[in-house]
Amino acid sequence: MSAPDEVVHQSTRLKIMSALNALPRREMLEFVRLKAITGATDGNLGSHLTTLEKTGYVTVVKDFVGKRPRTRVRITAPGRRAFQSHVAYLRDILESEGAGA
Amino acid sequence: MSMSKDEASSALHDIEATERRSRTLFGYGLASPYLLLWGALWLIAGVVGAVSPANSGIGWGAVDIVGLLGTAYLIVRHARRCGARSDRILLLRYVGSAAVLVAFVGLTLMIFGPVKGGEITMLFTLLVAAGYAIAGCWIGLRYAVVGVALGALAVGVFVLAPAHVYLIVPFAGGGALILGGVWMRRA
Repeated sequence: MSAPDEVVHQSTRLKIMSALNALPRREMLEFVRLKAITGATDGNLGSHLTTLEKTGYVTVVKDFVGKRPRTRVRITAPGRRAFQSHVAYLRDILESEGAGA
Repeated sequence: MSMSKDEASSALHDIEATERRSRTLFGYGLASPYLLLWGALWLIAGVVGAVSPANSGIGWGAVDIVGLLGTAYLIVRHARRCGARSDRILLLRYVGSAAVLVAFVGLTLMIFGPVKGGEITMLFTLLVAAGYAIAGCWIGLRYAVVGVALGALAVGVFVLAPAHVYLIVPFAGGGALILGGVWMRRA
């Protein structure tokens, strides 16, 4: 059975990782779009992104478009593996309990 | 950490819904430059047709060539940005799709005999509108809204001012595509 990932498990972080995992490799999501997808507040999203970045699951890129600051987020290869492993763990729970029922 | 079957099921449901929403919004962001490009080109073709009706056909031809090349550029740019192994396959698919579209329109015009400028404009516009509406059925509601709005505008002009279709529809269509492009960019 796959192991749970303590970092990915938290609900907002799970949504962040799901949103990023759905993108093609190397693609990034803008902070505002990620906020719309997850339904998190600025502060909450920023805090969870910091946790994910420290773990090495996401990369946060900050730049400017003209004079406007822009923050974009991309999932890393270890982040994608951790997320997929966590999803496998969730599926295992359903299958193992389903088989036993 | 241990989870119940209900918690696992709920988490998987959240994951699926979030991935779907992410893909849809990402797709809107990708589609936006294409809508803005073709919207602007339709407006240019509309201006050429209004200023010099005799050169309208040349204007549309030039606009179509610029649009096809611009679309190819956007495809290659995107493929390189997301690290696609080969943009050649994407380009071949695009050229194939464009060839099918050009052949379809060409053969339709040939089969239905000599057609007026307004009828050609309506055919192109309704074809594009139908394409967006069908895309909307599969990959995102906003495509459907753009397609239906474009089709409704064109049919409205055709019913209310049939003699001026070739003048008004390019402006209405170009405007609808630009508005749709901005709307998708902000999604």
